[in-house]
Amino acid sequence: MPAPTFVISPEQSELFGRISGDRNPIHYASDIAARSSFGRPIVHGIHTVLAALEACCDAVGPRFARPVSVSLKLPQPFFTGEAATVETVTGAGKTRLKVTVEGVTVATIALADTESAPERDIRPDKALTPPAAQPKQRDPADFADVRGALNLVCDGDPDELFPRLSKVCDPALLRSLMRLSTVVGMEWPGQDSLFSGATLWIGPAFGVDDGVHYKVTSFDPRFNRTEIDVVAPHLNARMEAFFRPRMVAPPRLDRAIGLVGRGSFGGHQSLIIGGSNGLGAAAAVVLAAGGGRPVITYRSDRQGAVAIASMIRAGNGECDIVSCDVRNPRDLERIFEEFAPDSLMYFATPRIFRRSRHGFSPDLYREFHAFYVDAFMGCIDAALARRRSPLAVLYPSTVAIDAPVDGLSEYVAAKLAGEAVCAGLARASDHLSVLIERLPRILTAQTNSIIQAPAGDAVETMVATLDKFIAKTAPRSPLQGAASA
Amino acid sequence: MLQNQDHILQRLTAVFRDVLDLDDLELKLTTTANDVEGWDSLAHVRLMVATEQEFKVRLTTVEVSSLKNVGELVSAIAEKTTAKAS
Repeated sequence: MPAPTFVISPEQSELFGRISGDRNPIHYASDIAARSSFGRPIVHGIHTVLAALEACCDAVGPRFARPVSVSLKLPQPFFTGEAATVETVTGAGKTRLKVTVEGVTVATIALADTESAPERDIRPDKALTPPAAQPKQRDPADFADVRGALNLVCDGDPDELFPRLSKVCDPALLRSLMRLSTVVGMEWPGQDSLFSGATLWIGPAFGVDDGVHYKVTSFDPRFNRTEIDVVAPHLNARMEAFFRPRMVAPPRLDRAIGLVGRGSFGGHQSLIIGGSNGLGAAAAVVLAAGGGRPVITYRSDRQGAVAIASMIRAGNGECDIVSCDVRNPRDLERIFEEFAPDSLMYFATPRIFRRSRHGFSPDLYREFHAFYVDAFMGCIDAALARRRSPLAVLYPSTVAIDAPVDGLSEYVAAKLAGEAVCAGLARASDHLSVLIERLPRILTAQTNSIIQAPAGDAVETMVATLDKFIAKTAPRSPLQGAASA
Repeated sequence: MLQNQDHILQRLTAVFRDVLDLDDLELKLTTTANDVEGWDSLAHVRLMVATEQEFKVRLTTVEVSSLKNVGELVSAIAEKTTAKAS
């Protein structure tokens, strides 16, 4: 018999958020999720777990007829629209579910009979409250004082999402399980949370009657890891969560001005492909700080592009923004009809860091190749078709080519292919000069992970890179120099 | 010392099996994260926390992030438990 599969749609994810009360925007707001290390909205962890149990309800349903302990682990993010497969292994008093996406484990659920549950030091004396409208912004240092109680009045019925589980679980238990998501996503750690696992003890004698009472029991600053104890109807739980690092702040013009010689880049108009956030945004700000005129393109993050351009204009600089999907030739034609830049900086990229996996994924390589090679070539072709004057190109690459990093093989292979293309283009055209710069790991939304690795500063890195790029590859013409003096 | 090392490795294997849900996992001193399914950065944190609880020791951030293989973890545990006992 084939293993059960399930898909969670954005609408189901939204519904889970409404019923559970976990309205943390990381689960539905594309623009906010795009600036996180996940790059797009993630499914609530408890939603993944309950959807897996629902998919295997024939096998696991009978377990809920007696007291059961459930160990949950959520090692990797799971996204809406993805097809998950649930493998079930039963034996020695245990049932184990492994939820995988393309062979990568996104959740494990181990169920076993149990006689008792641990004692919890939670006084259920707090008045019950509904979930907050917005996730709380918490200071980890406050962990010792954080406790609370949520009611079980849900905006909707869990059986809309989990009809089969609803038949084998007590209704208050199902609501309590969904509220666990709310405890983490809205209460503690709240706004910057990542729910990573829990151990649950489920049985009529294990909980309290009225609502979901929680208490934060630990915070480990080495890992930003926290534990929360919960008692609720039919439920006793210890949950594990992390504080996600705060979103990386956009580059600041005043800081760039302090690092760049005034007028260093005067007279230069540069088209910055992918300039609404990350390194592209830093390049735009640095160029403007030196008197240059960036034109930044964005694919989906218009808000980010507007914010960067507004900051530059507020500092008396010039900056244009234009929407562009580099994979669309018509977008590229339109841009080069409108603008005639002296130089082009190519920062278009998909998400770089993906789920941990073994081996090389040809599909992932093709995804990177589409940006770093195909779309890049399309961009250069479109530029050269409309100009006879020289064009300088900055192609950011990676030091991971020289010092391999686990899990980045596909990314590195595509960047290497891009470097080869750059070298070929520069040889073939008298109008083109290309600077390939192998950049180190730099702190951006892409690299802002829970376990922080050393990372450079985007503005400082771009100051050094643009100094090299503009000075050596795109020197000002005497006329431009005179005009900007 | 060698006997102590074997004993630590045995207990560590039980911890790793539990945290990673791998009943058949066999650890060697030369085992690295690349050799074990599911030993990613989040699992590494869980493994270190569970190891600390099992051996009643505390690892520093530098130790946690610089361990190259299971052997180095065994040595760190041996050092800390010996220091505590003396």
